[in-house]
Amino acid sequence: MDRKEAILKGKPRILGTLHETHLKLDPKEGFLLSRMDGHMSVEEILSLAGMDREEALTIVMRLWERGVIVIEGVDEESIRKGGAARESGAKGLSREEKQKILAAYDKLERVSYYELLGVAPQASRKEIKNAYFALSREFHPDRFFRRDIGDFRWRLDSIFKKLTLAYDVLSTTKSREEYDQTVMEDIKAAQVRAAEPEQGKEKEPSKPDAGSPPVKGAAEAHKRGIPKEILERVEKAKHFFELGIKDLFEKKYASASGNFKLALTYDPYNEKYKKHYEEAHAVVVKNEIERLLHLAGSAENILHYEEVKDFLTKALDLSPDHGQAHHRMARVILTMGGDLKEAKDHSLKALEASPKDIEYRMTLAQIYKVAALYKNALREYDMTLKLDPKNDEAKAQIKEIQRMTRLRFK
Amino acid sequence: MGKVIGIDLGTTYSCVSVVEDGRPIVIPNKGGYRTTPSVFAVTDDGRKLVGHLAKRQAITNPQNTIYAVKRLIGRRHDSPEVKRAKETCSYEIVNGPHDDVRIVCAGKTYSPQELSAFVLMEVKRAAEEYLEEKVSEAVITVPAYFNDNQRQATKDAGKIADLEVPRIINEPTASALAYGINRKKKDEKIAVYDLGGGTFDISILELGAGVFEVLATSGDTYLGGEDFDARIIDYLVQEFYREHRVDLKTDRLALQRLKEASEKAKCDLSSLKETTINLPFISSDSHGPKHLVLPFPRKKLEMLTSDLVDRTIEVVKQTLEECELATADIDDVILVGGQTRMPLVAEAVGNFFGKPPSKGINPDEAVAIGAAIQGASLFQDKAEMLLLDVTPLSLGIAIYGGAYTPIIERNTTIPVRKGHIFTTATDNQTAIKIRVLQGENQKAEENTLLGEFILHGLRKAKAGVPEIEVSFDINADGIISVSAKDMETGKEQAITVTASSGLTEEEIRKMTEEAKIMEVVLKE
Repeated sequence: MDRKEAILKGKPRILGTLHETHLKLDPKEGFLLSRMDGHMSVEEILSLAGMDREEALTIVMRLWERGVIVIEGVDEESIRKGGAARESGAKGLSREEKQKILAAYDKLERVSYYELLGVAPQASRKEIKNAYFALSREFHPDRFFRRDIGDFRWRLDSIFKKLTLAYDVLSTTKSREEYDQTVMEDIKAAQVRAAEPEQGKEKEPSKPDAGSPPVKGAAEAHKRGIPKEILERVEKAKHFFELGIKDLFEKKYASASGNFKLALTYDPYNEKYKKHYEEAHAVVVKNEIERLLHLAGSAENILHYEEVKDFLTKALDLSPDHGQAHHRMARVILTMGGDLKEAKDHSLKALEASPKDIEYRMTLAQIYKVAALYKNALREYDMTLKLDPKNDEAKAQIKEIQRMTRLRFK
Repeated sequence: MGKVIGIDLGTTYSCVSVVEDGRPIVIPNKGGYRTTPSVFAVTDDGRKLVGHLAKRQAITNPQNTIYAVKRLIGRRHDSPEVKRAKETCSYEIVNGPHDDVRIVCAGKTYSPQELSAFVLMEVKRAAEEYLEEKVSEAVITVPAYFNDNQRQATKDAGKIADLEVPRIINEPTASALAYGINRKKKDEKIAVYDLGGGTFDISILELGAGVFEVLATSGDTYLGGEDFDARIIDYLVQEFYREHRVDLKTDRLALQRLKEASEKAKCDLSSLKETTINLPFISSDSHGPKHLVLPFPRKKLEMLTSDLVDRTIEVVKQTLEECELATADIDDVILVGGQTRMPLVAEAVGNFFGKPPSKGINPDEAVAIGAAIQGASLFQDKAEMLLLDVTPLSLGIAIYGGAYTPIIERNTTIPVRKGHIFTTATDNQTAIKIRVLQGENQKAEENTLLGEFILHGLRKAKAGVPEIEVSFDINADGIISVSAKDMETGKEQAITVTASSGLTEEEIRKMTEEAKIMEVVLKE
């Protein structure tokens, strides 16, 4: 097959991260890039793009030539060597140099500091230093000081900065220990999780198992080196995380929450992903409750009490301690003439959430009154007056109950 | 494209070098001198002089002979150093329009950048004559401890001199390049002790396989040969007063002569055990003319200045401690700067390190040579050496309460990018002001302000909830960029620090309606 066919069949993936501010992308490029997760082929993306096919294809080609994406399956070697960018500008670099830079750039977020420097995790300080020096000679921006290297300059910048960071962390005893105990353990744990399916369990992907110690198989997996699958999962996780961040930026909290959840699935111990998921999820829940309460209000206006109950029940499912929802539930049951015990339960829950709320207390009092539990009703109205001495309604209700009970005992 | 020259723009002397056929050479000026005084003057008849000619007529023209401009470049007019200069300089220093300084010379005002540019032009001319071709690029050196403003100002001086400055490098690092470029030995740790006319710098470097890595650099920008001279002057003034009851400090002309004599005596005593200070007709009163004639032994000079030397050793000690190195770890010590010719200095350094300082390097020329080497290496395809320099001063921001948080610690290899998460200090704060500072003082206001900007549009929330990531980025040329990003909305604001004297580059786009404090608090 010719090259065009190969490209259409190939699966594109973003090289490095989408968040480099140096990358000047227009919205169409951004959109197409957001569809590229390494699983869909170019052909599939073009058909889903919702834009003129030729235009989309031109954009994809341009992204490929600039080295922003790699297309798996086009040149088998190209992934190892870092992708296309053969026709891309940067006359000051040879093809080999470009590929070397892209390969290094692609690795940056995906591998451990040890692998980045090309040393074993047990490497001595001297070995680490020599490795850093050797790599500095290759990737320091000064090496390419006056050459025309276009888009590769900021990539080089990122590579060197990351190398220096890796060197700084690994060459200081304290920070190296910390790194070994956190990040390296995470990688080992990820290896264990990936190793499990290989041992016969058909789970895909493996569920986050909070508390599974990275023991079984870790040492073996470690000896084998870090399998490609681990890196793929970490990369997938990162990809979804980025989609989530993009969603946050556009205030699409539900979509963000979904993406973060996916990110967590691929990388369950990642605190950052967890935090983002929880926060996004919290916003989603909050928004949803607001919507349900609003709908409950509208239903109440047209006296569709069953519907009101439905909405409020859904809201309470999302947030079981929501004072306002409980109170409104109590009120609607009262109005409907429904089960007073149920109304009382809701009313009590509302008060649990806001003990000083006058309205909630008055509702409870009213429920007791309707249920002929006058002592309880009086007690609640008294409490109301304690909180709000000028409450005329409470005063009136007390008078009425006293009148009623006097009549009764007569 | 022409050759790149290396220029050591010194407080008292400047030197220029270039790499020819793979070897660095120092370019002499027209008079055959390998160094050029960093002096500019305007004579009575309006002639402009630079270099040796300017220096020679200094004594008869003190008000219009400008020297030691390096002590003023990039500094604020209210800084202690400038205040000190105003007291001792024979020329007039006035406040500039950007909180900087201006110098008055023959009725005109000049900025320090301009005056430095005159010196640069002088050495540039010498280089062009020697090379017989136009020179348009130069690597210029600065003291390692120069802050960003001072570096930018030096670059500006280059621009004024019609020189493109691809890189500013630190003087001790340049010396190390000059020293190490021919060393075949692998893996050495060296200390560069640089005591020049105006500043003291100490740098520890590691050399290995063609890579020069700066491990740490420190110094004292208020300590140099001039301070040694000042001690001698004070002593002479004191002696003269004791005998004649006349305070020579109030006499500008006398002061000028004292200065020259002190400097000469100091230099003489590097090789002689004793000298005589002889200044006839230094003063006069109703009784007639007065002379100053004083025997001045080396021992006296050492007594007067030993505390200055001790101060430098203290800094060296601290710097070694910061690198977690012992004196035994240092394989070689090199001395740079004219003041290191003083036997007391060489002795103190040798004693501290437990080995005599290396002799293979010319203390006056090493810096320029190193600059030329770096310049050549930047433009070479397969350069043999690579310099991994560091940022000498910490970079950070001001946070709530007026404290300072460094984000990039000093002695971090550049280029570098580091970030930290911060949050708001008050409820419903929708903007934060980022003030970019350079320095080590825990109080924000004691450090140098490089620039500031405001990030608007934060979601209204309780104090401590929003997450703002502040990132610092220093590229290989030492250009600093700072950005602040609201992690929730993704909104970002950034500046590239190109201040020349504490001025902000970017205009602040709009002020928020809340006039409350816009400050920042550490998230963790």
